[in-house]
Amino acid sequence: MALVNVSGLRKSFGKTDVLKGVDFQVERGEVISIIGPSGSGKTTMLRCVNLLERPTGGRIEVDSRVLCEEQANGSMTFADKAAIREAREHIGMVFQRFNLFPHMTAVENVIEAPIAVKNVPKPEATARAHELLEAVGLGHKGDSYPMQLSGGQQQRVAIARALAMDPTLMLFDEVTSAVDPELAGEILLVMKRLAEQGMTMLVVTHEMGFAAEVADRVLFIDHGRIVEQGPAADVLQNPSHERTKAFLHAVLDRAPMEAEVEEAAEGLVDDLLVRPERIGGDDDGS
Amino acid sequence: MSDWDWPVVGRSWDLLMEGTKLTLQLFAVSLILATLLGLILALMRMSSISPLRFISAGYVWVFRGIPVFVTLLFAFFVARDLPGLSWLTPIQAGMLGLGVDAAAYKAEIIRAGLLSVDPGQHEASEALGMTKRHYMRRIIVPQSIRVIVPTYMSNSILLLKATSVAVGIGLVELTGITRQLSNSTFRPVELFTAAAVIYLVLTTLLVVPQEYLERRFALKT
Repeated sequence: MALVNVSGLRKSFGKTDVLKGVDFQVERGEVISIIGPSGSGKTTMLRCVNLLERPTGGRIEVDSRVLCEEQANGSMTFADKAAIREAREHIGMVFQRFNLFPHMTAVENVIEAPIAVKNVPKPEATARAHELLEAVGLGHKGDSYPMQLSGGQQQRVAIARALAMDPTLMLFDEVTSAVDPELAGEILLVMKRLAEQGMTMLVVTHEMGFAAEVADRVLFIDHGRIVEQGPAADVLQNPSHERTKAFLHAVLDRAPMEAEVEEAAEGLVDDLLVRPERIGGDDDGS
Repeated sequence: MSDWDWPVVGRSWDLLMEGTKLTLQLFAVSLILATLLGLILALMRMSSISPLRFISAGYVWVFRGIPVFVTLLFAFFVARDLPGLSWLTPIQAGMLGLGVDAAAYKAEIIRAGLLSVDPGQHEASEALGMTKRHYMRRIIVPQSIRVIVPTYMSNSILLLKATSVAVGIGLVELTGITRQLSNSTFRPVELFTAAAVIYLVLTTLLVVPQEYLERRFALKT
């Protein structure tokens, strides 16, 4: 039984159809990268999985809990508020813009939900928070406020905050897009470790290197539909669909401009990022 | 001018302080009423239940559109004729009128403050499975206070000064007592100067809690 089961997922904002019928499953322990042009609907799709966005059609099931279901007459039924909260306890989410609580220290950010939602005693939650911050390389920053931290550090606190709820599934929404390029590596490294430890992850990303090295599967989305999916190596190296090819081409053509930046980060992330130029050779010098 | 009589202020001091005491009582009670009512109205306005939003918007529309003096007259003459409110003393009617008027402004100030908090804060709280009640109290309200305090305090200064309107329903607060004293002593300049200075001292004192709150809720950088 797949951990996540999505079928016929549709979402419109007013008259704009953002998702036009999306089906996918995620097995336990699987890491899936969701790639696609901006405006393709990939972030909306991710946000539907924990109902931050309410679908207008289709069915979503996470860990045997049905979150929403389309009825025969086309109307949507949603799980009640308490059931949605219960499901969200097990679905961690990390946002593009971190969304840390700015009036709380790193530790306070991490312990707030376990104490409030799972009734974990404060000393226990605090001890676990220190462990988690240690694990994301911020053991010494527990008493810092978000605005005292770099973007990369804030995002790692946000990952620790999500992990503190012991989720069975983690959603990552372009988590490196709002940080300086040289800080993206430290976030990706944490995500890679998490993947190695068997976490089930859905990762919306522009980091083709991460997709290539860490993801088990890649979904390519365009215009609200999954255009192509499969093992990362297949989709990224031998895309079968024209639109996938065009997208990868556009992304990879930018590589020479970014080469300098990436070189600067080389030491930190070399073992993590497969450089775009190493993915297939078909765009070299063309 | 040699024919001024400043010692009249000293001779009237005890009565001026009596008036000041009533001014502060009117201010304190109507401020508490306005804040609680304003908070409820702001939350109603942001509710997903449309009749609540409608009532709240209507309340703000009405009481922001009516002069505070007219509201006060309503509280004095009309509210006290209502079956459940006949026990209202004139002072309590004054507090009610001032509070009900100020609540419309407090509601807008609190609403603007709550709306100023990044929607990402709601989303992060929701995604962690927190109840709305919990994250409003722990996440949203504490962050909105930083935005609310300056406007809230300016509005409170207006409310303190607006208590002088209560003289119109016969309350002998600071302005009322000063008028009576000036009528009996024929020393309006000296006595109203004293009253003005007392108002100035009171409004200046309001800056103290403002600065404390602004420091308390400032973001640590």
